[in-house]
Amino acid sequence: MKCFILLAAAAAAFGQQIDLSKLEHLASKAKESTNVSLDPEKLKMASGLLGESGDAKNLVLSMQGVHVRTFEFERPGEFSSADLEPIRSQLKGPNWSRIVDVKSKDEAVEIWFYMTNGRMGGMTLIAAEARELSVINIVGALDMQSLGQLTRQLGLGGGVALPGMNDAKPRTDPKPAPKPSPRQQDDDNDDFGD
Amino acid sequence: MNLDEELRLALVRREPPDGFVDRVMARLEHQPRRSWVQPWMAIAAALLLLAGVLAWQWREEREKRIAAEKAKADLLYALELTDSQLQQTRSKLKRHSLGGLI
Repeated sequence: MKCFILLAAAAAAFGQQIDLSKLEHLASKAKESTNVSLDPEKLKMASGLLGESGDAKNLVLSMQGVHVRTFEFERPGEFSSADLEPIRSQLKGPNWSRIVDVKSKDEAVEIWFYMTNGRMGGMTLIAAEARELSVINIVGALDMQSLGQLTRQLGLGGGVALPGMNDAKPRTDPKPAPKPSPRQQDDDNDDFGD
Repeated sequence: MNLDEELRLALVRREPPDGFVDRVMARLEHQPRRSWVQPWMAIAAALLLLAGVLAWQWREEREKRIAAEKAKADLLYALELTDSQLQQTRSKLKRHSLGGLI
């Protein structure tokens, strides 16, 4: 019976989970790369150490997976939009909707939501800069409000929802990314510095 | 006397002499223990086994704890990165806001 439940949960999470191994070829070109992959078992282990708040623990337990790939390159132009096509192709399913697509000269951010029956079941964020690429995939029934609540309770940030989507309390001084790197201006406007 | 008769007489049942059983039992009581396993050895072996089990259990718990700490660190990193990216995206959207849509 336990097996059946696990299989059902795995099947349910199948659509929301993105295979980020398609980006592994960029690791050889990056000066620094990070790979985080948390399955339900690891999330359960992590939640056991979140003793400070039962809400945080419950929110983490509601997640079915957290997958992150980040790459930091020496020079601009080490990766292109084509490198992200294997990821975007997985987001073409009927349940995925791109809700944010922000592009500027050398930055691009896409945020995709996985929706079933009007409820959020997963999120994918693709953030590309001239020398940095981050792809985050969160699987589970964790909406933006809950995500903001979780980050606040864990003392990570102010909890930011996207405008118009259950705004959480905004921070006045945004925290830098965990691995900040100096930005460089680049004249190219297509392939992130090509 | 032929061989058969000699064998028959040699193998005939004879009752032991009087006091034979008592003498044998008395000698048995006075014989020293020949077993090399001392009581303290058994206790030491049991303690060693217990120590081994406890050490293995401690090691298992420690490895689980390390794995959980790593999972927590990974989770915090992922959430912080997500929050940071959302912060930056929100700033961008505010800069590019169109007529109060946001």
